[in-house]
Amino acid sequence: MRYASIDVLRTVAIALMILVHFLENLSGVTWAPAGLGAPLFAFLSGLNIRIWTLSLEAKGITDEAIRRIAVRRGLFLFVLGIAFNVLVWLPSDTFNWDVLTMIGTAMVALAFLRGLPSGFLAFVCAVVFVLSPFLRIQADYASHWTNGYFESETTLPDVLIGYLSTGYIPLFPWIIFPIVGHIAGSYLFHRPTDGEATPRSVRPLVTYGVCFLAISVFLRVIRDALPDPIPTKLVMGWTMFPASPEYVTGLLGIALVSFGILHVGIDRRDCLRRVPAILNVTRTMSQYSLTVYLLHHILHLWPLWIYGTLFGTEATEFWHSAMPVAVSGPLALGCFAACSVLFRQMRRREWPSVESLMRWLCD
Amino acid sequence: VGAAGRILAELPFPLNRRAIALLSGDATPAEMELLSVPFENPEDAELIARVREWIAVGASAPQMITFQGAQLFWGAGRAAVIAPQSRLTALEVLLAELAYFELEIGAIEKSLGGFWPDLEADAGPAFELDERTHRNRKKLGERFRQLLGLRARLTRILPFVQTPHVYPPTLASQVSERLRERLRMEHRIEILQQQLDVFERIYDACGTRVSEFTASKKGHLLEMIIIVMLAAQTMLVLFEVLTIARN
Repeated sequence: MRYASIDVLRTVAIALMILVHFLENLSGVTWAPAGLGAPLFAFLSGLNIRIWTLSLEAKGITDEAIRRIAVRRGLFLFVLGIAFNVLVWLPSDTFNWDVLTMIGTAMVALAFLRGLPSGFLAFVCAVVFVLSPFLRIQADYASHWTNGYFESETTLPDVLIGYLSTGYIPLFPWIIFPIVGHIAGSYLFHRPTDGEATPRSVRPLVTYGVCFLAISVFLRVIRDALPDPIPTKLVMGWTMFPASPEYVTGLLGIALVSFGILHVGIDRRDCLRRVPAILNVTRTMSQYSLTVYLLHHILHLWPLWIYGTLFGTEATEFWHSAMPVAVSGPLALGCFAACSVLFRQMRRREWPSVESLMRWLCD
Repeated sequence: VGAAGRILAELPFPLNRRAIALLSGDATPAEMELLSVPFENPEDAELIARVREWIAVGASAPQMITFQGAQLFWGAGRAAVIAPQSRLTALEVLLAELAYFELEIGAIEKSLGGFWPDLEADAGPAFELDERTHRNRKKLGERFRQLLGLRARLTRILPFVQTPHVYPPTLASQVSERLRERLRMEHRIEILQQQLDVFERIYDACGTRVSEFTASKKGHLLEMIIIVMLAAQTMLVLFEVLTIARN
């Protein structure tokens, strides 16, 4: 079952991601909505795990088989994340812990946790949320970051600490997003056998979202009044690296509210029925989101590395300074448009993609 | 039969039902059509043939009883009586009562028949319950409640269908006994009771399994919460060890 609201939201995340990556990697410009894409992506992955497992259950696949498939898919994503780091970010960044390794881990975790009550999953999220700043303090987060970038030694302690707490997208606290996505999915989407004929109201989701946003604003407002070391170590302001409590609660709020509103507007009231072209684009981009993620990195980073190798002293010499925003911005838009056309062709001609490879290997 | 709205029969306590005459064009279709013919000579061959023809519509083998000058016919959704006027009212009441019992038994048989596919699916959980079946516990409970409802309906008509012979016998009591025998009411009720026993045994076991599963799930949840707390503590310790190792 596909939900157009999820497709739209994921396409927004993809568009933001492409734009942010092009601007940052090619021009060194950190754009304001830079931190929106990854949390939305992670939230939607949790939501999708719920919808996907429901569809498997509807086909009569046993819980045990579903768990095995989910674990295989999670491991596939994890390995793909490592391979992506090696091939795209070059071997020195093998263990920078990006979004794929986090989503892969979350998928494995949800394969085992998905049968548990949503209240328990919320409790796990709360524990992760509370624990995360203390783990960062314990790990001395700042010592893992040089000039605003994650630098890690290839030693077991560094790799583990990076994976859990100090990498780009570490488990603590990022795993909260897919788990909350799964909780939202469990609330909204049911098995036909559950006997609920009428769809549930999205109001609780939106209410929780607004509460999260309020917490985020509250933390931001009281931050300055808090005694040291709370503002420097715990409530750190709106930062993605590390994902501060304000950032996590704010993004959870945005994800829940935007999904709730879009679900009502698009899935239930069919507001976009008069613009099928938009639905077509969002469906295509959403269907190939994993391939887009990999492809857009390859499209803008490999030429940068090759150019740096040929005309500079090292491959990464022109990273952040290859071109002005006036060029990288239109390039990002062009990349989005090209991906949209390419994937429509791929769908029509049933060409293989990373998603189809994952299904072939894991299902 | 007669004017619309006329009460044909008032069924005894605790049935609390009334048989009411309806017009043929009434919006609510009658559950039983009753043809009541006052006739001093019930042996009239032509009349009997016409009534037989009427009663045979939709019935494969209509029943006919001749008793003390009264002719009674029973078909699918139709009954007819030819009797002298003085006996007609008693026989009408009798047919209305029997119609109610027959309809009740038929309805219970039909409902129970619809439960068999579910029963086959639910026989497994009666022995062992898994997570997916536990999620269907509301449906299991609903089926159990429906079965109890059927059992209650059956038990309510039981004293009237399995009634001993009335003494001194009357025309109505004797005709009633014969018609109940012809319609195999007691036998059908016995079969229904046996079937309900099987259903109840299975759903009773399902209920026990669901309760056990729910209780163990709550216990597991508490254990899981403790495990999460321990995992959090372990994580802090692990980080301490990793940080020391790193430095």
